[in-house]
Amino acid sequence: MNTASLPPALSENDEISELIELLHRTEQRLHKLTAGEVDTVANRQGRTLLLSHAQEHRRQHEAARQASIVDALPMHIALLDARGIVVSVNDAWRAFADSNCMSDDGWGVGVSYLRVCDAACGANADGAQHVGTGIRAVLSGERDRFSIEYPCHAPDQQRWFLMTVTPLPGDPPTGVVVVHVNISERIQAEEAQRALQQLLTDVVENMPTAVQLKSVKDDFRILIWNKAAETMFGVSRDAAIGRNVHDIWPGQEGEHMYAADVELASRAIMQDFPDHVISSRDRGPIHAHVRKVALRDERGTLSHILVVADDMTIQRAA
Amino acid sequence: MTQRTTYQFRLYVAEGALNSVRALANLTALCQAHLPDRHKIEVVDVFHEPQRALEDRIFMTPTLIKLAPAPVRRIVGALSETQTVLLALGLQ
Repeated sequence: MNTASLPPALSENDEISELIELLHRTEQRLHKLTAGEVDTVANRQGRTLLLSHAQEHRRQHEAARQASIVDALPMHIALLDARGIVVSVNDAWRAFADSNCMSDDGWGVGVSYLRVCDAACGANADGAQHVGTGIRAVLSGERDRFSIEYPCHAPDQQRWFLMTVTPLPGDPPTGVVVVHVNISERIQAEEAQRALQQLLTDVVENMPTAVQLKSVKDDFRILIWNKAAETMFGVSRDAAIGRNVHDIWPGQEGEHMYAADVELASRAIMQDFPDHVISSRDRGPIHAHVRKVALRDERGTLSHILVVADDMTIQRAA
Repeated sequence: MTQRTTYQFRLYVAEGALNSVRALANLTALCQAHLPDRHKIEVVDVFHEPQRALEDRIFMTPTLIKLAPAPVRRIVGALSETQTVLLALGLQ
């Protein structure tokens, strides 16, 4: 048994009580003698004691400094205690609450964040319950972090946020920090990128010219094969994507095409074949005007070969 | 003592404590007003450099030591009474 952890005996309690009284009286006397203008005192061995009023000032000063830092951040931050109750929030949180008519309850301070999640109904219920589960997992120490991206649209504005929950020190944690970051710009940029990508895909797909794109670093395997290419060569997109010319045109014809791709990759110039005879799977030999262009990536390295071909069979026959 | 004598001060403080913060502010203001361009202030935190505090026999903070010109003088407190401080430092 560890005797150090035992409570003091009754006689020791009396002594402790007297020492505490002496400590308070000493500090009061020091305060009076120095007119409250002293922060620390040291004994003859140089052991320094911070007096209680100075301790309190330092605590408040440090708290104010920490609050200033947190208030300067643009993300919405709330501190939750171990029960999930909102203990404090930063300026950005208060401003968001004010601008969204949510400031009636003191910006949520004193409210159980977990209860709000549990009580959510309607379209947001599943998401809110997921958040509640995530916060509980961090509070219990089961997870060291939880994050989720979610939409939070206003009547006149499309908005998305990233919520992260991280623990305060302790085992289990003594609380969590909940941070909401507005990621609307990133989401909108991603959506714009997706829309542009789709537009480019539609343009290539609907061009009346056969278009192929081959990867230089992946043995000239085909990445893009549009509708006109399917029609001209009699090869479906599924049969072409991921394969190279050897697979599509077996034998000498494929060898020649492959050699031309290798040459283009080594010389990196545009190739123009005004009258190229190619075998179409369903039409036999056709005449095509073929142009090949070498494409480079942002570092200037040759990356792809773009092949465009126009069917000239009817013109040649005429 | 000439008009160009440089005053050297050493101020012992407890960083972030109210009286220490005030003492440094008051000393800086006093020097700018009465000793412009002829003062040096060294600030020593007793929690960071306890050995120096012991060597200088500092038992309370804030404590100001005027090291030069002689005589060496010590003042304890926030230095808020300007006239008293000036008198103690021999500036009046």
